Formats: sequence, structure tokens, C-alpha cells
Amino acid sequence: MFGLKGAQIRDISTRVRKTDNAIEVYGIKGGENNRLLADSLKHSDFFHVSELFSLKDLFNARVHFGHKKGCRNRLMEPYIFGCRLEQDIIDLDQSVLHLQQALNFTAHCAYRKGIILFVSRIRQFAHLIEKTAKESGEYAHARYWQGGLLTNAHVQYGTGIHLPDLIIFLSTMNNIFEQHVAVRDAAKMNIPTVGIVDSNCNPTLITYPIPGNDDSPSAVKLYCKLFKMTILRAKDKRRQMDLLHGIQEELTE
Amino acid sequence: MKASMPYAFLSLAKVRDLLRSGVMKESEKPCWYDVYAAFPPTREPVYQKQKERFGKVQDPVQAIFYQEDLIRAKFYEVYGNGPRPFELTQSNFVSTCQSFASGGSQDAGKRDPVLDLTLQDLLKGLQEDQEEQAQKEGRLQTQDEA
Repeated sequence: MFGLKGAQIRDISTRVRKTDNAIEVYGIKGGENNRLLADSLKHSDFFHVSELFSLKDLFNARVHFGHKKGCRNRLMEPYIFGCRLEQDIIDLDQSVLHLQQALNFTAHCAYRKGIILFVSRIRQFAHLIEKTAKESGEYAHARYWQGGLLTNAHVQYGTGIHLPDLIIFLSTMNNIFEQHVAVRDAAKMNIPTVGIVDSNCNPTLITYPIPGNDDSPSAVKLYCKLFKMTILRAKDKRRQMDLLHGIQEELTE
Repeated sequence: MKASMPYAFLSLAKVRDLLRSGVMKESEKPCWYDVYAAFPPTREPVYQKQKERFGKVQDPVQAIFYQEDLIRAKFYEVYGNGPRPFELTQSNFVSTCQSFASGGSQDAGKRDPVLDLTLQDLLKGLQEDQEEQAQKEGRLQTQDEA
């Protein structure tokens, strides 16, 4: 299983690749591949991620519920619609836009065979997140985060390590209500982040924040479902395009 | 000093400059670079610390209240918690207070005659209160504007 023991975290959270395969990985083989990747960027919604969900779905999954007024982080104020009897209500119009952007970005990263890492420190959803990551063919780290996992990777896991290309946070807080160390470390290591930011989180360091509830099971299940669907959709599209262009590449999953 | 300087850990400009100067080779170009350039986020991820609020500053987040809240408040003041408990398992459940509040504004089907009479009185009282408040607010607003 994922991340059960310290030694196993190495196998799961980072994919070791040899440096001579780096060119193949990034697909800078020839004009054909470049055209494939460039074409995908021309459409505003190449993977039709906006069709995967609606505002009603977010409402039914209780994404708009924030924490109490006293827990609010001032930097979340632009994303909050209002305060109903001291409970913050997150603006779902903004959430829809941010979620579309985030899903679009994840889809493109998955299309380019990027490594995606799901991170969360909510113990209630650890199994769900690990299952989602397994089903979408990507990686998860829902357990205790060792300090140097990203910043000290070469020392801890040896040279030639390939760090994740995208980190998705199902919750940006850790168990003591502070920002997860991975948020800062990913920014340091030039890794873009997609994260669900609740009303008590600091959204400024996340590249593509998604204002929304990170505590309700219905909300987290919805996010996991959406991320899984986008990643699988992007990978299927990539396989289709490769076959169309006649390139024989096997996705290692 | 350090806290006030805005610092962007992850930025497209940084990676672009690294590529241009040759520090980062083309083969090492991150796969998200083109995607980020094509679809940038609404806000650049520059770190900001939460600024503390000193003194009496108005809360920028508005409080959510509805017109029905006045009727609900009156209902609970008069009748307490209501005759039957809330059935939260049903998503389309309508409580006594809710049917009372909505039934008062339009001509609904079944209505309790006793409650109906009290509702009429309550609504009249509420209307009078609202008119008084509106007059007071009108006066206050003209004072503010002047």
C-alpha cells in the first residue's frame, strides 16, 4: 500500500528515472511530439473539464461551507461570499472558475506525462486519496511528511531522482492547523501546486487555489472523483493522439 | 523587513530566465512551463502574510440575512423551538417555522387557523417596525451624506 512505512514512501512518492530517459520523458523527440503538445494548448478547454461538474454539484457536496468567523484567514476574504450566523460561506461562482482552471492545468500536466502527487494530512480521507491516486495511475502521500522529502530528495533517495511535476493538495493544512510543509517546499522546488483552500487556509502560495470545503466527506469525495476523471481523461486523450499520429509510446502506470 | 518584501518562490519569469541564460537546459525544461504560460492562474502565487486588524475596522465580509429571518426570529420568540423536530435526513423537509414564514407572504394551501391569526398580527407588527427603521435609516443616511 502507499506510504505505510518510511522505506516504502520512497517507492511511492517519487518515481526514480534514469537521466538518459529524461528526453523521452519530456517528449522532446521531434517535431511530431512538439506539434501534439502545442496543439493541445490552442483550445481554451481541450479536455472539456468544465463539463465534469456544475455549481449545483458543488452546492450539493457542501463545498460552500467554510469554518467559523473566528477561524477565518484574512487572505481568504476575497473568496468568501458572506457570513451566515458566524459561519463563512465560500463564493461558489469563484470556486467554479478556480476549479475549472485547476482541472485544466492537471489535465494538461497528465497529458504531458507529468508525475502527479496527491498530498493531504486529513487522516479521515487518507485511504480515499490513496485509492484515487492508485486508480488514476498517479501517486499519493497522505501520511506524515518527512522534512526533506522534496528539498533533500537527492540526499535521502540518491541521485537521479525525478520529483513530482504537480502536487495536488486535498487540504493545505496539517494536523496542527498550520500550513502543510509541502506547500512551501513545492514552491521552493519550482513545482506548481493545485490545492483546496478552506476559509482558514493561506491561499497565496498555492499556484492554482480552489476555494472550497476540505473537511466534509461529500466535498472531498467530489474532488477525488473530479481529479481522477480529469487525469484519466487526459491520459486517454494522449494515448488516442499518439495512436493517431502513429507514435508507439507506452504509458507506464 | 523580510515580512514586507513580496517573494514569489515559483514564477514563470524565474524559469524563463533560467532557460534563457542556459543554467537550465532545454531537456530539463519542466513539463508545466508551456501549460502555465498558456493558462496562467488568476493571481500570481506571491506569498503574503496575514495582516492583523487593529482597532474597530469594519468586517469586509458581509453578513447574510434574509427578509424571512425577521419572521423566523418572531416565530421562535413566541413559540420556542416549534412543535415538531427537524428531520435532517430528508433534503426536502419543511419545518413548521419555514411553512409559517412562506405561507404568510403568499396564499398557500393548508394553514393552521390559529397560527394564521397570529401571523397576521406578527406581520403587521413587523411592517410597522420596518417602516420605523427605514425612516430612521433615511435620516441617518442623509446625515452621513451631508
